[in-house]
Amino acid sequence: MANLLFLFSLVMIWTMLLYHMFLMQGGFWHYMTFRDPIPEWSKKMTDLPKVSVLIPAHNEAVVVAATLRAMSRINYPHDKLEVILINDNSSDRTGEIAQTFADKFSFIHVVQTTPDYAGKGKSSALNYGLTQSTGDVLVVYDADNTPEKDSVYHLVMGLVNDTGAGAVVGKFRVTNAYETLLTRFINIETICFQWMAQAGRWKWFNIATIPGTNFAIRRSIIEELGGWDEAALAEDTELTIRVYELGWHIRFFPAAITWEQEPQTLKVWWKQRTRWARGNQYVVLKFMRQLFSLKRKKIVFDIIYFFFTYFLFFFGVILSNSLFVINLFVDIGLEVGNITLILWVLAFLLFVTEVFVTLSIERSEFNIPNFFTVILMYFTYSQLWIILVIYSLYLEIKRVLFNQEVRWYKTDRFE
Amino acid sequence: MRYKTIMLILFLLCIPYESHAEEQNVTIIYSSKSNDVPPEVYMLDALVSHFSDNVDILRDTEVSPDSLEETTHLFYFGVNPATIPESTRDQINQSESPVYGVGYNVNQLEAFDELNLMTRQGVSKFHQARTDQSLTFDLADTILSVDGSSSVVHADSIHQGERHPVIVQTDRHFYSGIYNLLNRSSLFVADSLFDFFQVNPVGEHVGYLRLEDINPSTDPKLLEEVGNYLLDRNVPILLAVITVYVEPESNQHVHYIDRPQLLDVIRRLEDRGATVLSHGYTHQYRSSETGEGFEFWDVENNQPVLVPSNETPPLLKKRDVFSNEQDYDEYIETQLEGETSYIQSKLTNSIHELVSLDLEPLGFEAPHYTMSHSGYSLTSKYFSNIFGQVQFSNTNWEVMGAPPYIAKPSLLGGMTLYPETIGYIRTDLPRPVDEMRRARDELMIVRDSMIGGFYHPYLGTEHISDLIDMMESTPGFRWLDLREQTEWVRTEEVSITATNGAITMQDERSRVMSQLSLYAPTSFLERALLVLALITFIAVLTFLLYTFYLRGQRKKRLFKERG
Repeated sequence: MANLLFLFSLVMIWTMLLYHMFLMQGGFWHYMTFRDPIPEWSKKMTDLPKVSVLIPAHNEAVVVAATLRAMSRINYPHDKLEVILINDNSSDRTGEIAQTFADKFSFIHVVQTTPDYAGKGKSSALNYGLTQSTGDVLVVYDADNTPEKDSVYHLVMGLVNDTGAGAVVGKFRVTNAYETLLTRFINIETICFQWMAQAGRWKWFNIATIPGTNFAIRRSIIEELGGWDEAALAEDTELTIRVYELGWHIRFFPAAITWEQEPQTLKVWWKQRTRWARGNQYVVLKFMRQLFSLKRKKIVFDIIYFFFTYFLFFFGVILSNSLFVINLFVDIGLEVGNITLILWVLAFLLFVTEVFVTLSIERSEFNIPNFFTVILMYFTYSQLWIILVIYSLYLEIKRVLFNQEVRWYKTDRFE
Repeated sequence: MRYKTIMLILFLLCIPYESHAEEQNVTIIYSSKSNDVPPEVYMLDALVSHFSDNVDILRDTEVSPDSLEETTHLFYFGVNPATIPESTRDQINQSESPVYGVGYNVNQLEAFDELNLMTRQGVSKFHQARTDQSLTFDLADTILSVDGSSSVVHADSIHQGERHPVIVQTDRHFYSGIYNLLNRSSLFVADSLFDFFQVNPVGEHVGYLRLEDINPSTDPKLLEEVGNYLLDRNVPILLAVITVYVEPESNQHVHYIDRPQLLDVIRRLEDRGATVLSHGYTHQYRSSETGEGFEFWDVENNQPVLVPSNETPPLLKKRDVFSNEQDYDEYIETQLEGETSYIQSKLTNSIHELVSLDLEPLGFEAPHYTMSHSGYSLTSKYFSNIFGQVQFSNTNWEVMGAPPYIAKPSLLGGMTLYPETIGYIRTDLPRPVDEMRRARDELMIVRDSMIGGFYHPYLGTEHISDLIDMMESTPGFRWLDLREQTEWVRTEEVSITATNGAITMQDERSRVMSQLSLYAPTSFLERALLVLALITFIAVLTFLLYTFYLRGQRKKRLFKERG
């Protein structure tokens, strides 16, 4: 029995590790090639579409000035650009600060959400922004973002040249990477995410996930979908799946770069990540049920991947750890040879080298402090993920048990 | 001078323990209903092989005019009542060699035409003239007693209070009415051969004790305890080592490398003077458990092992299905190809793995003493000796036995047989040492007989001291030290040779590979995990390479990105 459980955990864990190995290879490959078509693509950048940059902001006084300063420097014909800061129910000086920029730059506008839209979260604010915008292409930035000046241009370049792309996603970098140990970890994590998950999946399967910021989407698609889904907790994952269901794909184009701020304290991080985990668990479970009725098989594969991450891999790890601990005290007849010890060491080395590759891609990130941070990360930050998933599963189960599922939608609506 | 003295001593030590008077050429002619050589004839051959290295076995129909030209000693064995072909009879009658007749039909020969033979059933008691000793066996025997006068009586049967001669001598010719040679009463025949061959016995009883069925699941503590006790008493023990333990339910293979503590114990015992014997690679076939299963005999079908463990073997067709001998022989030959590769790989694996573990196997013991005749001949290419008993029948594993002294039966293709003669400690008996003592006492009627037994180390030391006391109390007793004999074990790449206490080892395998092979996985799961590890290792190397590449490109990229 113990051996069978061990085998199960082994298969679950290593399926994931092998898959990430495969993604890493794709990510590296994408890095080596994504710039190749730029000269050719630039030739088609003559008749540019009108772009609306949407920035939902709720009490962002601390960062909004930096954000709009970066927006004012966007390298895109100003007659075809409008930057709309959607001031959503802010009680601080967000609107005031933003207005100074609007006064100064004609293409920057500040709008105030009307009561129908106000205070319902990001999706709702974006939907209001949608009504106020005129662009054929919508670009979304979070209020703490400072995009590089060519990022909008590159996002549009992706859409103009890839007619099958419903959306183009750029990469994001961390501004406060060296503030605390936590931001160091997050910095490394985001770099890995971009080059393994995003670039890897794009290269092998033409799949990328909309990350919530620094992406461009065709207005026609958003309109066809009836705007952003205000019910969804993880609106990005939901939107991604719906875009694919319409028959479009989402392109990952790392030439478009933005910089954003990450949580500097564990408490903020914990809140943010719990929301993500729960949102993703919800999406996975929702779509697992209608898995075989989904039109795009590619996205089916991606949902299975999420299912693996939040359920199978997770249980594999928990099981493997439990067996290990129990085995320390009681002989449960576990017949594991030396090979499993070798595999453990290899799993660690795999993690480390994969992170090294992604860090080396970002020129300055592979340095001596980060070398040690990566090693430390495996034993600390990475393990936090286990507790996080346990916690978010616990919250999910609690909700399902004590409220009916339909009501959960409604509850969320009023959050 | 000193060098010459040493050489002389070495030379003297090289002289074999038994003294053949001169080169003996023995021919055994037998009459039998069976087309195969009967097991009793093989047993006779085994007995005779103590006295001669040249033994020919001929069926009475196969004797040609020149068959007996070189013969110095002739045996005629009537296994069944039959008429000896006339030409054969003439050959035997004209031979100048002494003739030893066994069993039926001997009245047809001139040497024995005066003997009056009479079948007696239910005979269990015998008397030996030389020692004036009587022995009573558990199992009753059917014999042919000899009435009438003959010059010398070597042994009598005692039946219903009356003595009837059963082994007699007239001039140089001997006759034995004991013909069921697989029975214990064959001890009397065994001893009479000293007189027939006129060989002087060495006058000692060599003994050995094997610690049986040592395998990776053996308890290291018990083994160490028993082994140390015996070595402390200067017993040069033999360790019958099985290389791999197969767990019957999971089919999991456990190697010594997974049991470092046990391996250390075996190594220490070997360092202290114990000698390792290969007792098979897994001591099992198909799904049976190590130590329980047969390895070189398919006991379910009672036939040689024809296919690897995971395949279903064909049932060997009987001889009578075939219209002629040639077709049958060809059929058997093809069928046995599977056996050949099976045995070769098992023996090679066993030797190689033991050597890789820094052990020095010096002999072989077939699991449950079972093996086909073709198996024996194959094994003789790997081992110079074999311990235990011999499976005399090629169609039924249960027909086995052993001569009471060291021998070189022709069936074993030149291997020296160190017979197991006194059994082992059976915990199902109230006084197991006494059982073995009884067997030992019976052996005392055979000159130079071997006192060979075994002991399961899982029993701990409970019976061991009584057992050793009993064995050492044998008159003229000496322990066999295999290292003092000339023995070898070899494969194509490895050879271990013992001469006069010195062991030389040659291993042409690459050291790295042979050590790596110890860790090589055997089960599907382990193999799959190894492949996984290799893939991951390659990925790790690749990613390191990418990292170095990207770092190398750093400056170039800086300009590129700025440009």
